[in-house]
Amino acid sequence: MDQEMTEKTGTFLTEIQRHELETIVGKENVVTDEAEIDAQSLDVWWVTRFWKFSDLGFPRPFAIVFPENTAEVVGIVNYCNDHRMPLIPRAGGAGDAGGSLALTGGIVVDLKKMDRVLEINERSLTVRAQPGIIQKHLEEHLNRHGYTMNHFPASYTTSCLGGFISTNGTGVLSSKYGKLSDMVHQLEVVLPNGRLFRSLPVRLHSTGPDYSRLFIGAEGTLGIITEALCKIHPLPEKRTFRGFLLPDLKGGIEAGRRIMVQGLQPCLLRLYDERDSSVILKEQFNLDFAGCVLLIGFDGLARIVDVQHEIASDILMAAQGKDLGERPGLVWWEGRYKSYYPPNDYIAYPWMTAVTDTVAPYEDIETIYWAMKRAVEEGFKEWDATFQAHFSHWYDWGTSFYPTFLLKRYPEDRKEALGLYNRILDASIRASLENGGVVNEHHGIGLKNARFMREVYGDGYELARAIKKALDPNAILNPEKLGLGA
Amino acid sequence: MGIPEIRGTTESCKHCFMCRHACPTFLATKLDSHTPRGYALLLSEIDHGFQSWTDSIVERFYQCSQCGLCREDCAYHWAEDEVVRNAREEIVAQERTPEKVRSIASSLINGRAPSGRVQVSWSPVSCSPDRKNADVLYLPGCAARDSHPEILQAMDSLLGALHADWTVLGEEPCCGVPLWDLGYSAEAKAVAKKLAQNVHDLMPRILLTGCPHCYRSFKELYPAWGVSLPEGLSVMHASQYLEAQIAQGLLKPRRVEGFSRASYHDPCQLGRKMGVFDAPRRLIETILGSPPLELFHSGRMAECCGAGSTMFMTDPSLTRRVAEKRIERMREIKSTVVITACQNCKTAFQAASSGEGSDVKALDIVELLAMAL
Repeated sequence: MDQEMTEKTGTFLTEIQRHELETIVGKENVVTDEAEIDAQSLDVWWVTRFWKFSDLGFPRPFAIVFPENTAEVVGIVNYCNDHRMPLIPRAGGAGDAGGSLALTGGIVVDLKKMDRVLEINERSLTVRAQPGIIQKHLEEHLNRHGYTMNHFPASYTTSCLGGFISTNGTGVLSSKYGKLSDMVHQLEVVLPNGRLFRSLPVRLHSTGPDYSRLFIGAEGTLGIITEALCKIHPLPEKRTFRGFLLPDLKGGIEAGRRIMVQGLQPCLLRLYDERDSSVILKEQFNLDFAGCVLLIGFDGLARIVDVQHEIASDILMAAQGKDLGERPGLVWWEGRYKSYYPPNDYIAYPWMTAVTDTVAPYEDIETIYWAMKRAVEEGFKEWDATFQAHFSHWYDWGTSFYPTFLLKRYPEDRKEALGLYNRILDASIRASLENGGVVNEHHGIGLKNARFMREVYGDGYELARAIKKALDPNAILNPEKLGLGA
Repeated sequence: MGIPEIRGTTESCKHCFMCRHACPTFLATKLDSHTPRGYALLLSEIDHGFQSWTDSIVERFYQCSQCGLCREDCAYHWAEDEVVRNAREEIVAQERTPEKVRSIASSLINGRAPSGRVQVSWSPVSCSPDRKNADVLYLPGCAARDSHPEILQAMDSLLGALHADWTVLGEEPCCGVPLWDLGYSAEAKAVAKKLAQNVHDLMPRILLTGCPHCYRSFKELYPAWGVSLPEGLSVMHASQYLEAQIAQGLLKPRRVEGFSRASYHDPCQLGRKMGVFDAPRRLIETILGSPPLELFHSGRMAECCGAGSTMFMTDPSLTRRVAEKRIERMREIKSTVVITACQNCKTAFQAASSGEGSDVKALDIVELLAMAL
C-alpha cells in the first residue's frame, strides 16, 4: 500500500512514521490506502469538485488517522509538532470551502470514531458529546429521550458536531435557537502544543473572556475539539408554519425586522427574493407564487405559539402580505432536505456556483443585496450569471442572507474556468464588504474565503495572526485556512 | 452491464453526502470509501481516467453488503447498491477479483457450498428427497445447508407436524444471487437455469425457502433474467408459509415463555428488498404472546447485519463489526434475543456475540416456531 501511495501522490509516510502513528492510535486507525485517501480528498466546494476531475493535480493527505479518544488526539498532535507535520482535523468533511483540504500534505485527523453521547443532563438541559457524532445521530439520540438540539442545517444527515462548532454553523431554526456559538456551553480542546484546554462549564460568565470562543468557527486552525457540552430543548409541544406573499423584498425585510425587534421568537423565518421564490420554491417544492415568499414558524408551548403566530400575522398583513396558509411552510419543512439530493440540487455540479453568505445590520442589508446582485449579474452578463438569495437567519439587530451565484456555462479550459470563478467570487464578496456586509460563511471560510479575511477584519487581522502564531508556532494545524497562512 | 449501465447514478451520487449516516458498513468503519458517495466517486474517477482499479479500491467494492439502505434513505432512491454490483461486474470482466471472491464464486459455480465444502447431504425425517409433484418443495438455500443444520431440522419438524406433502432437492444448486451480487452475472444466470430446471422436473405447487436471497431471486430476479419457473408456482418465504398455516388453523403452536426481551431484525433482502415485514412479526407474536421488541431503525430502515452479499464469507471480520453495531441496537432496548428470518443474519449475529459473557443470542424464526410444537 505504501508503494501505491507513492505512485499516486508522490508523498507518503515512512514506515517509521507509520509505526509511530500506529503506536498512538492502533494499526487499523492509520489508513493510507488509495481508496480512502481519495474518498477523503473532497468536500462540497465547487472548486474542489472541479479541480479533482481535472489534470491540474490535486493535493492529498499522506494518511488518514482515526483517534478514538482525547488521549490519542493529544498523541497525534504531539507527534505532528515533533515532526512539523501538517495536521488537518476533519469530521463530516462536507464543508463548502476546502476547509479540510490537505493543501500542503500531512495527515488528516478524522474524528468520526469519537462519536459518543457522553451525558444528557435533564435538569440543566445539556448534552455532552464527542465531535465526530453525525448531527442526525445526535438528534435521534436526543429525540429518544424527549429532547432536541434544534440544529437542522442542510448537512444535518452527514456533518458532525465538531464540524458545526468549527464553522460556527447555523441551522434553519436559527432565528430562535441561534448558531453553534449560542448552543455551546463548554468545549474541551487539544491545543497545538498538545495541552488540553477545558473552558468553564457555563456558557455565560464574567470570569475573563470566554476563551471557548477562540475555537468556535476556527475551523481547526487553533485546536482540535474533542468534547462539547451543548444546549438542548424539550421536544416542542407544537410547531406550526405559515406562508405569506410580500409585494417586494424591501417590504419583506421590513416586516421581518418588525417581527424580530418586537421580541417575537420565530423558529423559522425565511424570506425568498423573487428569483429564489421561483427557482427553489417553485421548482423544488411546487409552490408557485409570483413575488417574495416569506415562510414563518413558531414552536414551543401551544399557547405561546398561537399568540406569536397571531401577532406575526398582523405584522405581515399590515405590510400588505397575502396569507398563503399553512401549506407552504409545511411543504418546505417536510421536504427541506430534498433539494440537496441529485438531481434536484438547484446548484447541481457541474454548474459553477458559490454561496456567499452575508450578515449585516438592518440599515445596510438591502443595499448589500442589490450591490452583490449587480456585481454578479451585470458584471458577468456575458456568462448569463444569475444571483438569487433568501434571508434565513434573523436577529433583533440585522439579518443574514444566503446568496448564490450560478453559471450554467463557463470556459472549457479548466484554468480559465477557475479564473472566472475567482473573479465572480471577488466581485460578489467585495460588493458586500464595500457596503458594510460581513462574510458570514457558516459553510466554511476554509480556502474559499481565506483571501478576504484581511479585508474583513482590517487591523483586527493582525490580532488573529498573532493568536495563531502564539498557539501554533509550528503552524501544524490546518495550514492555509481562514487566511491565517501556513 | 458494468460501468456504463450505472453512469447516471454514479455521476449523481459522487458528490452527494446525504445518505452517509445510514450506511451500516460506514457506521462500523467510519471510512468514507465505504459510503455510497465514496463508491460513486471512485467509480467516476475510474470512468474518467483519473483513477484505476488498485487493490485497495477493488477491496472496498467487495466490502459493501448491498443492503440497499442507502437507496431507501435517499430522497430519490438512487440505486447505489446497483453501482457496487455493476462495479463488481467490471472487476470480474477485468479479472481483478480478489482471490477469496474468486474462490467462493468457483465453489458456487461448481455446485459446492460457498465455503467450498461439498454440499451437505440432507435426509429429512419427514420426507424423501427429489419427489415429484409434492405439494411443497423446500429449498433451505446453500448457506443454511452448509452451516445451519438446526434450521433445517426445525423446518423438518414443522413440516412433519403439519403432515405436509413435501420434498427437498438431493443436490441443491445455488439460486444465483450470491454470484450475481459478486459480479458474476453470466454465471449467476447459468446456475439459476439449472435450479429452475430442477424445480420444473419436480413440479411442486409451492416453492418454499427460508433464505431471503433465494426468495428474492425466485420472485424478482428470475423474471428479470428470463429464467422461468413452472407456471402457477407459489413462491413463499418460510415466515409467510408458516404464518399462513397457523392462520388456517393447521398448526397450533403453544406459547413459548422466556422470550420477553426478544427483538426482530428485518433481513435486508426479505424486508427492504422484498417488502416482507408483517408475516414474521405476526408469527413471533403468535408464539410469544406479544409483538417482538422493535430495534431502533427497523422495517424499511433496518440496518444490515453485515452478512449481505456474502460479505460474511468474503470479509468475516468486517461483517462482525457491522453486526456488533446492530447488536448495540439490541442493547439499547435491553433485548437479549434477536430473532431473524435469514440464516446469514444469524451467522453474523452469532459471530458478533460469541465469546465469554455474551449477553445476546440469535435465533431463526423457524427455530422459534419449532420450540412451540
